[in-house]
Amino acid sequence: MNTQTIQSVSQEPARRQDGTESTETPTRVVDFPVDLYESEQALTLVADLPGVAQEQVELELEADELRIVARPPVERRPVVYARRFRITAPIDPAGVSAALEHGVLVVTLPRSERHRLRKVEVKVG
Amino acid sequence: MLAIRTGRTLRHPFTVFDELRRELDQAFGELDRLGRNHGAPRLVVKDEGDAYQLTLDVPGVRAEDLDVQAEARSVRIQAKRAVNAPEGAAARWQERSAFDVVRQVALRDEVDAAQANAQLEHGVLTLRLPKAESARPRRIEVRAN
Repeated sequence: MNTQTIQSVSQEPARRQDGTESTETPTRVVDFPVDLYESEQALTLVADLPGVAQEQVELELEADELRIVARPPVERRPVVYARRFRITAPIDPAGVSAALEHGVLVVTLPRSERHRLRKVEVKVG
Repeated sequence: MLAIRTGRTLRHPFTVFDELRRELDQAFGELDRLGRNHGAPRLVVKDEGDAYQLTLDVPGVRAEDLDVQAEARSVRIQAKRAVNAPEGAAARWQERSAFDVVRQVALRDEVDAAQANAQLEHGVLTLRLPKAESARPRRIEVRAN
């Protein structure tokens, strides 16, 4: 699995609107606002990534680290969005999904089946 | 009947780490980050000579949540969005905020509001306001005597 660190992100060539590589590198690596939610079934991460299309988002899950890198076209926005998160609850990596709509990325990380929280009813007898 | 959750306690399933965040955490001494907001949307105005181009980051905003009005010398943009937890989930860390904002910009040159064009794509509103004919830069020939 790709083990690129966030520090090296800005050295990669940026992409232009038409998908070709640009000789400019983006001027800076910036973070972006996120919300983190949890339920009995899953952990959810919601991120604001305005100006980014689906194919410009990279998600990497390695052990307990989730990395999100987004590269908008360099002529529109000379930045790379990059942030990483440590996930401390057991999740099912194969079940991780993500959707991008209106510039908002939603990443759903299902808890691993064995660790799902289940309600236990207490019967008063 | 009482429902009791088994398993580990629901505390901090995520930790967020980057240099800036750690410094801020130390400065504010917070471990829980609920209700900390990022600022309201930032409007960028570019004068392109024959038109103005305005861009406003509006992630999570749908077309029906936007109201754009252009006049000869000003433009008004209203945008709103809600921020909701997914079904059955509780918030553990919040940096994104709901907003309902108005941005009004006075323009130095007159624009032709009838020719204004607004596009919403990937959570960015791009507004193009062509300048009125009389306001466009015009080259003036210099005649030598």
